[in-house]
Amino acid sequence: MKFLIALLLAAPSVWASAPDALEKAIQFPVEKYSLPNGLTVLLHPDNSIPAVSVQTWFRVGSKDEARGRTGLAHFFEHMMFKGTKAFGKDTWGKFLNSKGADMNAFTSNDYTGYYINAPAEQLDLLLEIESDRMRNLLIDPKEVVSEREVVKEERRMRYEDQIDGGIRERMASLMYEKSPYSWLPIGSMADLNAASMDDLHAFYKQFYSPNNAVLVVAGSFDTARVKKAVEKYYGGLPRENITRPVVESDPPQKAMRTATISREAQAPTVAIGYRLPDISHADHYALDLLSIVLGQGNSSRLYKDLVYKKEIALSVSSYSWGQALGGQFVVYAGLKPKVDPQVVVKVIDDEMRKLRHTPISQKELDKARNVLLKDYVDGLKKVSGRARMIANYEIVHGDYTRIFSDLKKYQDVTPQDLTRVAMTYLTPSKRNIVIVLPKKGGGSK
Amino acid sequence: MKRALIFLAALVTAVGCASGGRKPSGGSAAFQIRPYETQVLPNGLTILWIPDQSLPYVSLQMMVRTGSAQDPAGKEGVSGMTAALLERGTARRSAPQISEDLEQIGSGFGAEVQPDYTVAASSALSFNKDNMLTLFQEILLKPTFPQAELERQRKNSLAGLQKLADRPEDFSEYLMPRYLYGAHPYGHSAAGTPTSLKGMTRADVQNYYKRHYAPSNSVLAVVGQYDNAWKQKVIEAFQGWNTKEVDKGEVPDFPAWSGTEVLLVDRPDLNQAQIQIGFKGVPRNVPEYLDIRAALKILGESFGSRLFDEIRVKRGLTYGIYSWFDPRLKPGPMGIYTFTRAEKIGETVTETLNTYRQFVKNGVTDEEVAVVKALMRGQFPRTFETPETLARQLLILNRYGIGPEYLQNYLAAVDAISKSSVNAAIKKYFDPDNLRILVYAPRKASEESLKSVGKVQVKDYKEFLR
Repeated sequence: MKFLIALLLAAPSVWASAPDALEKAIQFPVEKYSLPNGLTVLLHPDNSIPAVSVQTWFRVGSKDEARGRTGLAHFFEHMMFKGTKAFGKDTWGKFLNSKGADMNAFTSNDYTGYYINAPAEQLDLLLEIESDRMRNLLIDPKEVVSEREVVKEERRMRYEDQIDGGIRERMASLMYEKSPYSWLPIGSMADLNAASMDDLHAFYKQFYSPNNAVLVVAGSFDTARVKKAVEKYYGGLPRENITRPVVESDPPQKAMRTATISREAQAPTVAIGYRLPDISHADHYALDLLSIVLGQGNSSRLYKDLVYKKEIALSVSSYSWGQALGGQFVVYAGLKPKVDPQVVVKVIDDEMRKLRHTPISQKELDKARNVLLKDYVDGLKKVSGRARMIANYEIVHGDYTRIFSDLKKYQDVTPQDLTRVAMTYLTPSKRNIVIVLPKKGGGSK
Repeated sequence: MKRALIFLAALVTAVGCASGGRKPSGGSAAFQIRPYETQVLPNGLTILWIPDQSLPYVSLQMMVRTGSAQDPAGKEGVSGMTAALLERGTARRSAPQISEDLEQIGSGFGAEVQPDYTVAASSALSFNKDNMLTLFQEILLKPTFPQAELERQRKNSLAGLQKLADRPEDFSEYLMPRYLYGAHPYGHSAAGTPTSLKGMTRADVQNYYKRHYAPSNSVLAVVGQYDNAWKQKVIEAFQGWNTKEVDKGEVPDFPAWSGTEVLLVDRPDLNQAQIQIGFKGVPRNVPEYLDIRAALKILGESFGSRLFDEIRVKRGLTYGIYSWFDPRLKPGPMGIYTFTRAEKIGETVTETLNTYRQFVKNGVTDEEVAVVKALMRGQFPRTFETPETLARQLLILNRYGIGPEYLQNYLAAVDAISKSSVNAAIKKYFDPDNLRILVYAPRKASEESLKSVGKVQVKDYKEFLR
């Protein structure tokens, strides 16, 4: 069976019975243990297809960068595909392709993740390659020169020529002044140019150590055999002392902040962001659901008002997320040409006021919960998706079992909780507003 | 309700390979796609039943075997407008009510229009599958296309097209079909054009719907956790859909043009150039389909491909470069996409073309073919891991008249790929000389450097927004 629990019998479409049944239905086996060198290992056996997913995630992201070296974690992620003495740089291409594998990586504020998805019979080889590059990476200066330009192209693509990327970057620096969340994982152009060989070597030595890593192996394998292989390839890797830069915290925000980006654009965009507590705070369950009520889907409040009724926006969305040092709640509205952004800011303010002062119905809360649960189940359909979810929960929450227990937490959220978190976090003085205004003479005619 | 006369058209495969309960197999080579059944209702609707008991969800995908290539001249985008308006009103519900009712059960509705087909889809947790089925059937079979919703969507589509210019990659993709195909039915997308959208009427939409949305022109894929009783409900929901003949126009062959030209779409504020290189591709039913796929992977699919190694790794000119094709009823487009900083446009285009032309001239090596065959074998089980992706593939194969044996024989067909078969396909289908190159970039930084590539035509990007 893919999952421990057998078929879920069709239940009536009422919320009260669905989550309990759902929690049972999504169970899947995971075994967690640690090696003496501190490597955290999670194994998820699943024989549904003859494939495996190996996820190696490190507890390092842009929050661990020093000012003046922003973007280093992500730049280094690129360098991890440049090879070792035993497995040269063609490993990350021709060699692994010849084994039927796909691979990639990603860097966030809090973590850096690497994955290889491959036929099951390649598992030993994948562990050998991943353990090898955890400690034996060659950092060739010539490769650094070339890859630096690649990363700069990524920055231009995602943040300089994309309106939404530019907003994200400005929002980070508006919302925070001291926190490392004031910059994005891509870093600044100047800092990317400044990153030195010494920076890369020092970063690698301490952060790419087994005691800073989570290894997830999911798919078709024999657990006892995999445990032996993990011991063989990772057991001898040395533990490192990890010294992270001292994180500066921002004082609580007292007043609204605004920023305007003037650029060639066809229409204005409005983004409003609010700081939230860190990921460990229990209010994130209610905030997740509130973000759906406000701006996810065609029946969400902002869509109905801004897009459908007033016809002044083309798209709206709102998202809430937690991170190690603090979370964010952000509302985006992509406006129609020639619409005054201040009109949209006022509509969003009015909706926020309603959230704070008018009780939210049980039906509206149930709708948000159903949307969330559906997304939750969609994320579990592939072995690699489950592997990624295990790694994410383990890195971000320190506890993968929350994959299952969080459902109950969402179930326990009440309409009053939504009002309370809106009152606590989404108040006018805590707004950070970024507006993109088309330059005169631009396309907004 | 009258019970449908049901017959099994084909029980395609019954090997023990469902997603549950299988022992570890002997590796990718032993992998077989999961079992499913095909049924044809008396009204001509084909249903693919793909059960999956692993998780409590159900999804419905309805393919209408018509897409934007059947938009009448002057009505470009009516296929997209029709699909967008399906969920904007039925005999029983208004647009807001439909959204409300769908999202109340955590579901949604989406309709995607491609040149040769349209796929409408919904999914829900299995607790809510009855309500989802009711809504899905109502949206597809009883849309009313209210005039007010057409006006709303027209304004949104026009604003959406204008704003596309601010998403450089998407804008270059939007412009490319017209550059390659001109007035050919593949020369526009389902989004239409500003001119066609302004002239579109409710009657245009109703006519398109009446003409193409028919059971005999559709295939429904039903995926997920359901039992026989629910299968019966699905049949009852769609058996009353009135049958009719669907008369589609013939899509002409790829338009004739020759030589290599550049269209420089000028936008002064961009930091990067979007570069689209396009040429005549192939129809989906071409016998060398897998050889062409192998060739494209060797040329430019991710890590280790020739373009990736030369343009990204060695020269640091881009973050991404890909070769691609879009096989259709008639030859679809084939091409290369990349982007680079403004000052490197000339070098990037030149070196990309050099790499491509060397590839066409010299062909692939034994080693490259061995690697790509292993990659295709390894990717196969992962590609069909979820039954929804299997459903999607089966729908597309059905559209192009390719039987399910394509998937059953896939691994053997990959094994049969050889250096000579790939090189023969490259010689036959990869054109090194007749290319259309679209560059969305600042003219000032790029025009001179592009002149060595071919004749350069310059247009202001705003010309395409009118």
